[in-house]
Amino acid sequence: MVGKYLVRVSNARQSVEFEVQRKFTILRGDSGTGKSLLFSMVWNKTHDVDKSIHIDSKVPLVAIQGNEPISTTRKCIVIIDELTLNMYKSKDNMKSFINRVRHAEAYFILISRYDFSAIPYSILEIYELLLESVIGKRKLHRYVFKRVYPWVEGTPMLPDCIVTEDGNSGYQFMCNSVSCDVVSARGKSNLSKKIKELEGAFKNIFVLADGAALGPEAKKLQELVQMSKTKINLYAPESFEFLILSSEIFKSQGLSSLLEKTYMYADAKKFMSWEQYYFDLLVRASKKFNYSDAIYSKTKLSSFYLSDANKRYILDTIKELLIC
Amino acid sequence: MLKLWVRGSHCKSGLLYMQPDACFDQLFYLEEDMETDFTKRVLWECNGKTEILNYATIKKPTGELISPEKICSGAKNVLCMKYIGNEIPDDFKDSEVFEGVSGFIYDILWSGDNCNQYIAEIALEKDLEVKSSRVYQPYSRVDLEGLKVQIMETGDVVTDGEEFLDIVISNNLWDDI
Repeated sequence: MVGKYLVRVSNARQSVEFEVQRKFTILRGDSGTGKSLLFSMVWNKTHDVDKSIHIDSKVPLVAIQGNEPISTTRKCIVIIDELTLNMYKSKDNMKSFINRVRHAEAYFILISRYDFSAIPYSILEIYELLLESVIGKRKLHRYVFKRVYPWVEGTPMLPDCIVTEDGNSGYQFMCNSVSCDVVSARGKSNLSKKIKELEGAFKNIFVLADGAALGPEAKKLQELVQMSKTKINLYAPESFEFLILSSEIFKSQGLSSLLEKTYMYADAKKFMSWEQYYFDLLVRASKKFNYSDAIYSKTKLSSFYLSDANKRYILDTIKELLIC
Repeated sequence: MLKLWVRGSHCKSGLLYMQPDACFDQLFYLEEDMETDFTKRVLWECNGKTEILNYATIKKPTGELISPEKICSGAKNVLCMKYIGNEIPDDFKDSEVFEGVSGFIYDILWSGDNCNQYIAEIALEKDLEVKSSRVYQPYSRVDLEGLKVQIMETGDVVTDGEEFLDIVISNNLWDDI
């Protein structure tokens, strides 16, 4: 399933409008904002319990509770409530849930404050419900989805230390491109701990992480950055592969549409996250060059990407990093 | 004091966990508790600006009237923490339903960060044992002084968010939560 879908769920008293474009969208936030109400409206419509509910969507929006089956063949948007998701908290149950949804021809909206560390969802696809307007004498309440962690252009930083999510290509690139300390967190779930360890030793820490799957770590990192006396710049583009694809190295291949409108190309049935899509795209794009050295590998970054010119091109995509 | 099991799954206290809808709908129903200042503030802040008209009727901003059973899970969670707490109410102590159960524990998963202030208020007034299946920083959005939090996994007692984060992160308590 591909595409970006604008959905509106409404009854006489309230409406909720939102857009989904990736396999997983998370809805959480403060209590009393209307999350359960949204779910119950969709559930009542799905089960034909309440005919006053109107759903405006180009693909079916369905609500699932408990062990109701998830269709793997019908293109749809599936919304799952927190009570149901509570059942999947254990490792075994989460594995079972991921197996059910992995190849489903669907986008999923998960209503929960649980972090779901095993699901690769984007930091940009975590939303809360916002009351946008109240209309008329009957006080129709209009809600929209609002990003909890929107992309905000930060002030460029000259760091004392760069922390990368893992020890793969991003880490290897930074070690070869900057003169300040570069440290690998050895996995996104270790990012908070690694940053905490380095806080005392450095004044300015630049953290480079893959935003397309960083969702599960978002709250921890937010708490850490807000509380820290060290200046921490969390830079989370879609992925390191996305940065390479955005650079001058691949300009001649005309990939801009694939990068700007990824929702039209990253099939949710094949890719659990856009990080996986960008990796696949980069490997395919790199094979189009005439030299084998250009073929991209996540685990071992080839010297092609470490030439002076190509390093410069990649660094130019990281607007918030001043070179040290 | 707030006694917090940071990793919700590791709670060893032997208290019975009840999901807030079940706990509230079955155990909470003293009329006077619905009309207190605390309840009014919780319903305003944590239940989408709803007003209590009386113990059985709540008015939503849309004008719709609802009964207390329709309150959101997060607000119910807080009200249960306040008015039931960790001990089994006297009325239910002899009930076979709670045979062998010494008390209740609540999961912060059901309450958003807008409930933190009220949880802190409760913990300043009495000992409250909770667990959290989500990332929960008890000092976030709290403007009260003097809140002590005991991190049950390590036994440490902290008095501010910085101390709390230090212990939680260095002990990997938020890993795979």
